[in-house]
Amino acid sequence: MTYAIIAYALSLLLWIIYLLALGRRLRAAHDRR
Amino acid sequence: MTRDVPRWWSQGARWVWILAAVLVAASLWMIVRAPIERIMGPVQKIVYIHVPSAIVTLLAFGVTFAAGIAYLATKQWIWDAIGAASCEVGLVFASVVMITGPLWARSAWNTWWTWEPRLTTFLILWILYAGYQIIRSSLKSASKRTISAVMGIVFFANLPIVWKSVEWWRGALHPKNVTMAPDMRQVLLFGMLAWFVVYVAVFERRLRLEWAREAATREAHATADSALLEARVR
Repeated sequence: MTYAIIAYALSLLLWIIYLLALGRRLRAAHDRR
Repeated sequence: MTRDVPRWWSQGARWVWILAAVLVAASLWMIVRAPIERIMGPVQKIVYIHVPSAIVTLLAFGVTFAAGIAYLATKQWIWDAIGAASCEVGLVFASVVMITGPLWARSAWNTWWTWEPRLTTFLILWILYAGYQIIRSSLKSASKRTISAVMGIVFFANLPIVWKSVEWWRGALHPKNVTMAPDMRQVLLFGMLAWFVVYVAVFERRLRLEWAREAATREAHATADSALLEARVR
């Protein structure tokens, strides 16, 4: 059970980190002069 | 070309994102409710994220492969953008596979890692496409797009090997085909649908980044050209 929860938690965490980073990169590309 | 994508694009994307969120939430709910496997217990539920992520990984790298060919044939920047965007999103899915795999292996095979055919070939796949990201980001020259397209095409040769590895080599721990109870199969297929829609949504976001960068580059070129023209007139 614990391994399953860790697997889902880490996967979702990876996605959240990636999407936040992507959002930052998008904003940076929009603001670039 | 502006840094913002056309209106139809951003409006359509909103619905894709809503759909993706609803499907993932529904998929997680189905996973919680799914029957517990008799021998492995709840750990078997890892399969509902592991397998869909692996399938979407192959699909994403397939898109990069096709976009690579299209770019070399047409030399249009959009194909390069599609290839790069799909490759990056595919690598995130591949990373999910690499995270969930050992957790499964620890319970099922009593080891975190073993040099089994599919594990080994998938690790090679992950390293190749991680290499794609590193090489692409290190290139600034005009050949960046051509080199990326070639990498997208050449690295794709590993995909059939990953797919067929369990048939070609002995000692495979991954099953060739799985017979699942219908209610478990339903959860798995729904997971595939949900993560496919997530792929489409994130791919769209990543493609926007390429769009904004291309627009910014064109703006910079236009400014430089007009400055040059002004200097000549004077």
